[in-house]
Amino acid sequence: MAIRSRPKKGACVVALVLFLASPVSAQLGNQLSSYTGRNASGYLEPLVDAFGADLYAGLYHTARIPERGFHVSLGITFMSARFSEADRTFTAVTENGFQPEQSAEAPTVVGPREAVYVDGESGTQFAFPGGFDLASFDFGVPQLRLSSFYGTEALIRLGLFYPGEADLGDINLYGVGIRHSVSQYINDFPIDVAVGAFWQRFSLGDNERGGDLVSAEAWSVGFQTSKRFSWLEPYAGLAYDDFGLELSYEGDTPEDRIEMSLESEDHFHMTVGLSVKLWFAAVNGEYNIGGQNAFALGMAVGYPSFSTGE
Amino acid sequence: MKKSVFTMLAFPVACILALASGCVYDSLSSQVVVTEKVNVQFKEYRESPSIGSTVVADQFKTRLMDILKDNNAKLSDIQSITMVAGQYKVAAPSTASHDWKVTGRVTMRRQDNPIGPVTEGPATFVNLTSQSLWAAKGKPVPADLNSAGVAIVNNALKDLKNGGDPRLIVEMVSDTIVPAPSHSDPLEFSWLAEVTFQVVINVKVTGK
Repeated sequence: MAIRSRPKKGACVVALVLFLASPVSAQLGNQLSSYTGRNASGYLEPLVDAFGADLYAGLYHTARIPERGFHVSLGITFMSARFSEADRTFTAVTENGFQPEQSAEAPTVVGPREAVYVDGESGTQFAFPGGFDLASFDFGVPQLRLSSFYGTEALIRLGLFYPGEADLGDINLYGVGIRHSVSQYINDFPIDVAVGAFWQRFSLGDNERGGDLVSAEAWSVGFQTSKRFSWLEPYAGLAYDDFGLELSYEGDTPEDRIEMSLESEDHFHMTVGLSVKLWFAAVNGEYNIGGQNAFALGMAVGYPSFSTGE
Repeated sequence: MKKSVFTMLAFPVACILALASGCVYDSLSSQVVVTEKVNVQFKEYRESPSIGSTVVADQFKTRLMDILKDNNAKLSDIQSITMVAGQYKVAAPSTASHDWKVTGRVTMRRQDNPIGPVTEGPATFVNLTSQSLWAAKGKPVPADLNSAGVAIVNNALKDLKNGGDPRLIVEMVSDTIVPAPSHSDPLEFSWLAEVTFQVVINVKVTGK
């Protein structure tokens, strides 16, 4: 069976659509509608963590920010958070008046596809929904950098808009950030150092009340260092993050309105990466270590040339 | 210069498209669980201790068809249908100034054709032991289920999967009511009995 009223594969945010989709468009709405509260958050937690980790990845590929002059670069960053074995199941508790209440290791949204059953009193049975058997959560986002105003750079993560199906509503992902060079104030400092703050927002769909079905906000503040060796530039950073996701969907009946806030418990991540600058192009790869680890791969073109050293 | 900058800008755009066309998922599948409820309402008026009212629960197929439609699924996509729980509540309480306590049972029997034979049951579905009507006011009470009655419901749900249209007869049988209803103090109330069941459906999410 195929759910035809789905977005085409592609537009990377569709991954979220597939998981956090509108109740009207059925499948995840149904997965979630059989869960409330703790079960719903346990079911979604790996995806929320991965989404948060992905959003924090690829925000920079150097700590070098020119002191002045017009600089622009446009690129795309592809992020990927891989799921561990522990992410595939969670301890779920039976609901809907099932007696006696029991707990079981049930699939998370990224876990095994098969539903898990437990037997109850007098021949009743409770089923926990299956997952989507995912190894990773990946998406790409374009971003634009503009500098420099006294060693300050602005980053804009361009909104990824998917026109979507009529019953799905809009999807938006956008963010802004600002970074400032610290090393510019210290003469002959051997490495480049910058501090920065980033904010991103994601929203998906329209619920019955006209609000967002899913909305998420991510904040990150931190510092970065890098050192350029000809066309190679290793970089690293440490950041404090805050990620929250709000879900608003319909339960088993229209009266069962489920409003849920999911907060990532991971607040720090470290980044280690390497960028290669060749004339107008830059390519970088990085690994982000935190509660949920994530890779990022970026490609950008810039003006003036990256290889000028500025 | 303008042209080369334009060419360079086209590069990330091309990358976006390339990533967009292949980076995500060709198709995803899962077993979705849909929880559904079927309820019946009894209206009671008794001037004697016996209650013996009967109602028909025949909305199973309609509910299942709605579920399949919502999920763009067919009967063959159903992995299983089973009963999860039963509960009841007093929907419209007695106007009497005192509580009533009912001991009895709810029975279940299968009669798909209204003028045909009873094909399964009757069997006790729910046991009621000194159930206070005030305690069941508004708030659903988990039913004390009996396996023989649950088996009838589960068999009916299994037949749904095979295209059947089960019709169940639910009967309230009281043994004692305290205090005993009388002409001057009749027991008049309505109550709602609810069966919760789950449908597990194999779904595949693909591009158009």
